[in-house]
Amino acid sequence: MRPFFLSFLTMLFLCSYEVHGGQEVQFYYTDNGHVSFKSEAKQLIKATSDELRGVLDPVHKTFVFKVALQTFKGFNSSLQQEHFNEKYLESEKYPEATFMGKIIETVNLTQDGVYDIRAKGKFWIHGIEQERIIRSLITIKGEKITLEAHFNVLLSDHNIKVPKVVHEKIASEISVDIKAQLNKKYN
Amino acid sequence: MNRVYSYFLYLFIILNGIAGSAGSQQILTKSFDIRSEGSRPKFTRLFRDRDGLLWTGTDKGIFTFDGLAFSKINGSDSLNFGSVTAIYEDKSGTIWVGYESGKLITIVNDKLSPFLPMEGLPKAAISDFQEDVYGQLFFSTRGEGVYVYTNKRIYNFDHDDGLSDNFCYSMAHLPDGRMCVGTDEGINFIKFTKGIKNISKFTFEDGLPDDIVRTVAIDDRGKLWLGFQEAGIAQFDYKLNRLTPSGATSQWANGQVNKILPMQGELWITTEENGVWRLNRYGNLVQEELQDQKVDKPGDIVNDLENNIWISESIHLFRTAGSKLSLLQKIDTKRLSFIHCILSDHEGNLWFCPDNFLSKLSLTHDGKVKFDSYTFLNPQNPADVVTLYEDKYGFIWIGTLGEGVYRLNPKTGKTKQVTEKTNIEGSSILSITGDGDDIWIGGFNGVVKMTIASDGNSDNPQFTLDNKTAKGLSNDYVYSIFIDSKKRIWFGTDEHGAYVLDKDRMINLPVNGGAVHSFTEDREGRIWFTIPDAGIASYSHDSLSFFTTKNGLSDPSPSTIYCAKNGKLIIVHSNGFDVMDPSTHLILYHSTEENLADINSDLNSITESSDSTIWIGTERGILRYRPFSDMNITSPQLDFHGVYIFNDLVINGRSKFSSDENNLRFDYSGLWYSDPQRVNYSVMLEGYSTKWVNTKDHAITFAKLPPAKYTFRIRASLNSDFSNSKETSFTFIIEPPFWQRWWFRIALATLVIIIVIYIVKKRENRIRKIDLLQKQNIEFQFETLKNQVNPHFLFNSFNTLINVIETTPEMATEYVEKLSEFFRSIVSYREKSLISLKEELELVSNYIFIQKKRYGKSLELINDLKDEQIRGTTIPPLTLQLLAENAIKHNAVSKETPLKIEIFVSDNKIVVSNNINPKINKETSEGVGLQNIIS
Repeated sequence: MRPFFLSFLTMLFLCSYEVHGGQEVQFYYTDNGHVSFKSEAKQLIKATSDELRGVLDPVHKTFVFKVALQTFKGFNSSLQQEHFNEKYLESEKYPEATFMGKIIETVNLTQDGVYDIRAKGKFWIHGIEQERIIRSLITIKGEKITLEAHFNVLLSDHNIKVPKVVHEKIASEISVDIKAQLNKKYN
Repeated sequence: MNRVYSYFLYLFIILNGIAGSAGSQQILTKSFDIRSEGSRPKFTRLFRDRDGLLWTGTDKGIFTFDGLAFSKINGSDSLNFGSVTAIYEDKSGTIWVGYESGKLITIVNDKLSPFLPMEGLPKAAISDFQEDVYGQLFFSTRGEGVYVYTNKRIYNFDHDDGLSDNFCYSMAHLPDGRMCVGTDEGINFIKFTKGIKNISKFTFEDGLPDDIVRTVAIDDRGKLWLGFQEAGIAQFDYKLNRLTPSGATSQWANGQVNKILPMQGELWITTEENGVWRLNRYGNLVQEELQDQKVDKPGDIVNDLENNIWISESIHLFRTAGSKLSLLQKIDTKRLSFIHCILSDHEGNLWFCPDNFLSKLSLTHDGKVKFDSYTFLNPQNPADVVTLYEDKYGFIWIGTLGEGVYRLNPKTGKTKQVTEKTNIEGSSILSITGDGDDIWIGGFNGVVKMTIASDGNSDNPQFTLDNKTAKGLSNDYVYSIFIDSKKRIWFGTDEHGAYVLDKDRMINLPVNGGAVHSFTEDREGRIWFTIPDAGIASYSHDSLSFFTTKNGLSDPSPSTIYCAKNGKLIIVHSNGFDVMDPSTHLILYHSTEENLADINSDLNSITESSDSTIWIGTERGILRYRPFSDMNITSPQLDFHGVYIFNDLVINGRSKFSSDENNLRFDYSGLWYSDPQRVNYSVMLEGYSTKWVNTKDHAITFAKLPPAKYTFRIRASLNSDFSNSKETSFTFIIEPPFWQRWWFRIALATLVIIIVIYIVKKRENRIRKIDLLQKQNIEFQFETLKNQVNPHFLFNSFNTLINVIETTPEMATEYVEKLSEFFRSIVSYREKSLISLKEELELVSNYIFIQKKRYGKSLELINDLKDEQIRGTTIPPLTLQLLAENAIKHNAVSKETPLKIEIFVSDNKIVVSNNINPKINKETSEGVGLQNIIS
């Protein structure tokens, strides 16, 4: 899955470059977005990462976001972190979670403003792809875009097996919050 | 002379005068609109739910319609979502409403809730809903493709996924499980299984006549129909993925197709520019003229459970009987009126007689109607045709009033009068029927049976006559002859009721009034017949039962009765007809509400063609009635709107109410859209009354219900007979107030018991105390008495007296006086509770005087009390004396140690004090004296 990603990203960049030829092509980037997740009930598991990376093409309204699972910190215990990486998400095998796709709304993202948009795309985690519509609030101001989103991940959707012993402890659905600031860059 | 005969005479006169000047109305189209707070909402969508209730979407929200009134859904007022653009009911009975703004709501049990998925809502208008076999709810949008809601998650199909276009108008669920979506660029077939999207498209390039597919619909045979922007309609074969060659319209000039409604093998089509069209079962497009109503731009179209058709157009909602009921008044230029008899032959041709010639209506292969006329009477001798019969050779027998019987060869059109040596020649015939070669003819001259002996296929058959079989009837008028499935022959006579000829046995069934007009037989073998002024009768197992207006019949004098192929009885009267289920006796009505007033049909005026269409000849034309073969007559479906407590809707099915929630209103509607005014209700509140109350009201209020368990029961009927009506009920409890609850009573009883116990205990204590006091009192009195007769005191006193007599005899008298006064005082004060302080002080001074004689100067009483302190003060008797006595008793009194007793006031109390001189030999003391004073 991973090589595909890289090639996709490269392609995306190249295509944009190709299409716009000599023009200045603008993207918005981030590499320090904030991702936090917790189990819906009782915060039985929680963690955050400040290493969400992403790119948004405001003209084509396409985007890619990804986060390395090893960067998640702030678990309830180090044992929990170990379980998270080794048992549940197998992050050596599937190191990243990715969401890429396109914004459904017909909005002009080259203009400043606050937009309540829905992003439709493919969400990979634990090597399993799911199509998702994720609602998010984006604020565009000059060179910067701030993005906030909230969505749930059903563990069974991504074949994330929770060991039997703790099965009852971890909710079947994990709630994810995202907050990121993207800055404009010129190619 | 009875009523029917004069009726015929009357017709006779009219026929000779005017014929066919009736108006040119069809079946009524009725228009409705919503008048809501001064504005008139525009209808945008129509929907009929599985219970039969109509939902109307407007630019001002969503309303339900029960045929009489539009009601807004509770809570929809506060919504500001714009026009309603889609309405749907999923398998669980939840109503989904989509808005122009992309918002969605659900309605369950009249309770509305906004649909707020985590994924957010579309921003484009919702155009349609469809649920697939897996329970996945699809909703299409105008601009964002199609969404599917499954497992509480929303997925999207759009251009990027392969959808031909994101602007979607309409969806249809195909029998193979796929969803067909009509878009601005052709159609798409989509499927969503286990998260995998499957899309295939078919567009203009693939051969569609038009790119813009405004509407898609599946008919009752599973065929897919497309309605285009410009190219009319087409049938699409989704199995072979191509247009059905013969299924498209050519040269369409009616503008955009708004909606296609498949119904009973036909398609109803609303168009933007040219009204409503119907593709009939012969594949012909017919424009539907909605009588008296100009429908410019019909929008949505639905059918109700009675198969009325509802069409929206701007602020109007139209109801028509659709193709269920229509009145043919004209064929080309021929006006149809005063049709006295009608017959559908084995080829489906319709024979009838307007005026005095015989007409035949036949359908050509292209679905067109052909009209033929046959003249058989001498124009100098016109006569009314009253009865028609087709024999086994396909020849038509014609019975006339006054001109006897004719037989027509349909192949040649030649007519021959039946001129056998019988009494039928030139007579008035009312009924002709037959069985094989046997022909029965009845009329004013009784009954004749003739048998076709030979040459039945020719214009000159040979007959044999049988005058014996129907003997006994010959002197009576015979209105009708009917041969039932058991080959019994039934005769309706003018004066002696019905006769039945069972093999060779003639049985008479007399009825009230004597006359019997028309017979039929239902599927269970019951024979039904009409009785003028007495309704209808049913004969089975040798017994008759009667049905009148009391049982729900519209008219006491039905003109004819007929059992249709669907098993239902059609009972025709002068203002319409009743349709009755012969087993349940439930009745439907078609009458003035559907413009059937004064149809005034006659005895032999009903026939059924092989396609189950019922034809009724009337004064106003030919009535065509198409009941559905699976027609099931039920009582009106009850739509229970809800329970209101003091005008507030009770939600979430709550059925326990507190004692002050005792003013309840029940709102309901019985659905009978064809004639909503006919619905009657019968209600009972069990627990409050044991009587059914009949009403036409759509609501009933019960005020000040006492606490109890109640069941609200309601039934609806189209007449006053509720015995076969379905019942709806609602059981609820009004809880007693808290002071009537068991726990409160127990608590109260406990409290009472505790209080009683407390009081009893307290009383016992008091009594014990009083007893003690009394005992002490007695002891005190005893002590006092003892003191009074204290021999020591007396002895001392006497010794002192002797001493006084010896020393100062002049003082002896005084001493004795004081002693005597002291004893008298003791005796007299003993009984009193209080004496004045002055009296007590006198007593004390007497006592001291006596003692002083003994002790001399060693004893001294100092009285410091002032006059104003003494005056008005009271004191228990002997109190001070006792203290003084105690002082003497417990102290040594001598010259060396004189005893000084002081009486004074301190802190508003009288104090008696003395100096203490302990005695050497203590006198024994019981401590009684002081205790007496304290208590």
